[in-house]
Amino acid sequence: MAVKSLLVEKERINLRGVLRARLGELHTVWAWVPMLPFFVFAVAFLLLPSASIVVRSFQGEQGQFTLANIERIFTRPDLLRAYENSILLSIATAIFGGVLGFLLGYAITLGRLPPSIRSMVLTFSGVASNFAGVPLAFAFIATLGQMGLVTRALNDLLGRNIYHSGFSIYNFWGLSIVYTYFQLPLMVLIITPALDGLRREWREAAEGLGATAYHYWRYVALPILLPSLLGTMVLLFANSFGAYATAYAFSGSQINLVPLVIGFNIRGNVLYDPGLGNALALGMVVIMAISIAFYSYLQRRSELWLK
Amino acid sequence: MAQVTRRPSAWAWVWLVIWAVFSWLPLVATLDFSLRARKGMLSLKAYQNIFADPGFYNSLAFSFQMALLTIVISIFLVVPTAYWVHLRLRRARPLVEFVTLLPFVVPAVVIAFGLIRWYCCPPFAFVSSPLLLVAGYVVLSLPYMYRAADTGLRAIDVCTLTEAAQSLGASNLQTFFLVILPNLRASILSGAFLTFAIVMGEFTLSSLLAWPAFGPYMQYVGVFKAYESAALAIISFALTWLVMLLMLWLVRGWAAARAVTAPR
Amino acid sequence: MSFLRLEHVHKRFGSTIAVQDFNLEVQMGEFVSLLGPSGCGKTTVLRIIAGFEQPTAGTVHLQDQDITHQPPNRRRMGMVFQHYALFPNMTAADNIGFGLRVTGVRREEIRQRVAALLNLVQMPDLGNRYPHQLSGGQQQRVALARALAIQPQVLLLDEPLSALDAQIRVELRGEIRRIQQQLGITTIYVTHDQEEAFSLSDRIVVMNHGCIEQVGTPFEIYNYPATSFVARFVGAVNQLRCEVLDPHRGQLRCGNQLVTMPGPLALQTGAIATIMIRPEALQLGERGGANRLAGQVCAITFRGPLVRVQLHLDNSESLVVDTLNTRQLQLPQIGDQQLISFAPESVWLVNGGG
Repeated sequence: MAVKSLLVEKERINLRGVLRARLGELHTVWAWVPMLPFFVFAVAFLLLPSASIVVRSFQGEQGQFTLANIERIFTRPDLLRAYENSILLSIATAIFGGVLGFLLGYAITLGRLPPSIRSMVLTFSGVASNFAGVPLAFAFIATLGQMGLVTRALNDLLGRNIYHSGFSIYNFWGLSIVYTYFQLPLMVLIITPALDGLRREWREAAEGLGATAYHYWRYVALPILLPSLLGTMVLLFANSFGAYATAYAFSGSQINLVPLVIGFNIRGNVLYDPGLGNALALGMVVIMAISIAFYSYLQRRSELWLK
Repeated sequence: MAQVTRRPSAWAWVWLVIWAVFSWLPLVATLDFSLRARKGMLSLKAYQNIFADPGFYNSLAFSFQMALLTIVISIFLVVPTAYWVHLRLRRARPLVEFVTLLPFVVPAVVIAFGLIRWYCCPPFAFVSSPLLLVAGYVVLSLPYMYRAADTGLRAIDVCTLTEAAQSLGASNLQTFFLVILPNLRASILSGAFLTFAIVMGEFTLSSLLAWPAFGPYMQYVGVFKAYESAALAIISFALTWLVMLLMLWLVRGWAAARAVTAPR
Repeated sequence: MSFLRLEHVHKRFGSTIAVQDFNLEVQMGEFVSLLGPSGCGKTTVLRIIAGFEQPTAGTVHLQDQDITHQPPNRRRMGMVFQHYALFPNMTAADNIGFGLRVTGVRREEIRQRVAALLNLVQMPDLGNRYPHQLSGGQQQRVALARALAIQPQVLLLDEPLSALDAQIRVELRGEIRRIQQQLGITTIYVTHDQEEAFSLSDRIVVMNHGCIEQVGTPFEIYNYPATSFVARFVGAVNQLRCEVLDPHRGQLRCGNQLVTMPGPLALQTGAIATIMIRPEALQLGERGGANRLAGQVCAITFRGPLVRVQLHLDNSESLVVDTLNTRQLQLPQIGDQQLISFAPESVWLVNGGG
């Protein structure tokens, strides 16, 4: 009898313990509840639609698995050209914007310019990096188009039309200049904090140890900045790779770009070749994902150093 | 206190001048072009034409509404989430950061494509509702809004503030609205203004989803009218500047107000 | 002839004067500390020696050679910074070897010297770590080794311990002194911590508002402070306002009580003077010396090895007494009348010589 009640008692304690543990788990589950709206939204409007592209790229018209959609990209030279153009344009503008933006960032951080100039450059960059798309296209047509201000000025100055020497705002190098207009300020905005992170003591420590300015930049400053520099340039690459509006506004352009092809695919009313559209979009996402993965890897490294 | 006195930075000035020319030349050229609608003289004719066009006001108003809706929804979705991540769910941070970074990975044109394909047909025949456009805009705003909220939260000691508020008897909601939110005002505001600027000039989503927003309107004008399109570019640029300066002015005003009231 | 010599050094930033007429001679192998409150100009002096700042006026000589305008990278002075300033992209070993690498020392020799230095700072196995993988104390050891690697003519340390925890601070302090004596390296050490300065230095330079207040050995600085600023800045000190009764016999009146100090005093009878006494020179009871003062106990504070008793004298001046904390210690109660005593030799005069 006594033994039995003891057992019951023990059981009860045990049960209570289990219950408490369960409640604890429930508690951690509850902690996720306030996150629900965010995640539901993200799943509905970002993850599912994006994931469906991936899945449907590998689906035929009856829903069977196929690689035909992706193979079709590789058999059509015009689509391959679009990828090539997009990638080259993005690399070129990432380098232009990256190098120029770095030099400007250097000027406003370590160049000992008046602080007012620094804040002016940064504010302007905030505006200019958002000044992409249609109005930017208009601005450059007014500047470097056939009748643009600079085109005419150069015509008067040199006595010849740059359009007769092969330049065009609609060709590869013309578009590169246009894209650089929003790439450069983005570079300035992102690289300035990294340049600020270079501590004066590093330079002084190096100098105290006998280093010249060359030694300092070669062995200390550039290696420290390299991850941020490369990382930001990867971001610039992605930024230009996904740009649709600017490219579209130059619809007279002779060069074909991936975002334009996807846009045409959608606009060709109710997706005239959905399988191909999915595969094209997938290709874009894959390239972007690779570059962003590279970016976040570099970002982590530079954060470790600049802590 | 300790300044290093070195030779003046000639290179810095050189780069600055190159930048200034590259940055301002297109704007000057556009302004010049927009004033030449009348042959042989400067005039505001292109601007008059724009301001006389009801399409201008309609598209602007449409984009404005979309922008406001986007901002409200985006704040509602992002700010409490970011707060909760800081306070309780630190291990959810990588996940949330991944999601908010995705719109950088997935280009707008792909997002548009995915949204159209997913919501074109039943059971989610949703593609003709402007809410789908707003949803797309909210997706585009996620990286900016989250970063803004995150920086704001990093600047204050969320856990201590929350514990202090709760030890004084505040409930969770009171803590959030009375303590946390007022401290995030400036950073949320900067996220909101950035979102506003993006939505007002947005072209990709609105054009592919076929809405009469300001971006497609500008593009439409550009096809037919050269001078008016230059005028629109100037107007749009001025609008972005206005928004930016308004934001700076408000944020600085608050910072100054805080500096006056804080110590004592 | 002195090894390092600063003559009439002035430094001005805009309208603020950071350093004023600074003169100092440092002997070879000497350990000199610059001690003072923050903003007193001690770091600026160090940076002028290192070459990071140019003095507005005055000269710096090293071994009788004028180096005032020599760029920092030709001075061969190793500097250790407050926040370590290790290059984050290099391992500890690469940091230490940096100064050798940029001056073109052979790779093999660098490797050997780095290994020797890692041993010297007692981190033989941590050469492959990056700075972010090291603790603050370890980082500062690497920074010290890095500064020593170039075999500097002068080692400069700018508050090297102030970012560290108390325990590591004491440990590393001993280490710095050991290494300095082992290598016999001339060292300038900037600190605001008097305990650090006392325990490390051969000589201390006390600075305030850009000027030198006193230069002397730790013993001189503590026991014979030249100014009331020095007396108050190093250690605690009691100040009493007194009236001179008899300048020849060194007798003064403090309230209604008599204080005697070694005479004669260079003051007139009836002059008002301030005398200073260190709290540890006072004793509770009558056995501390010929001087006696009575007062009412108003506070008792435990400070570990010491107990500090605060008294109000009858003329409303207050006085603190430090007494060693032992188990047998019998403490007065707050409100008690208490007699204290001290030797005439432990008293000194300020503003008025003495």
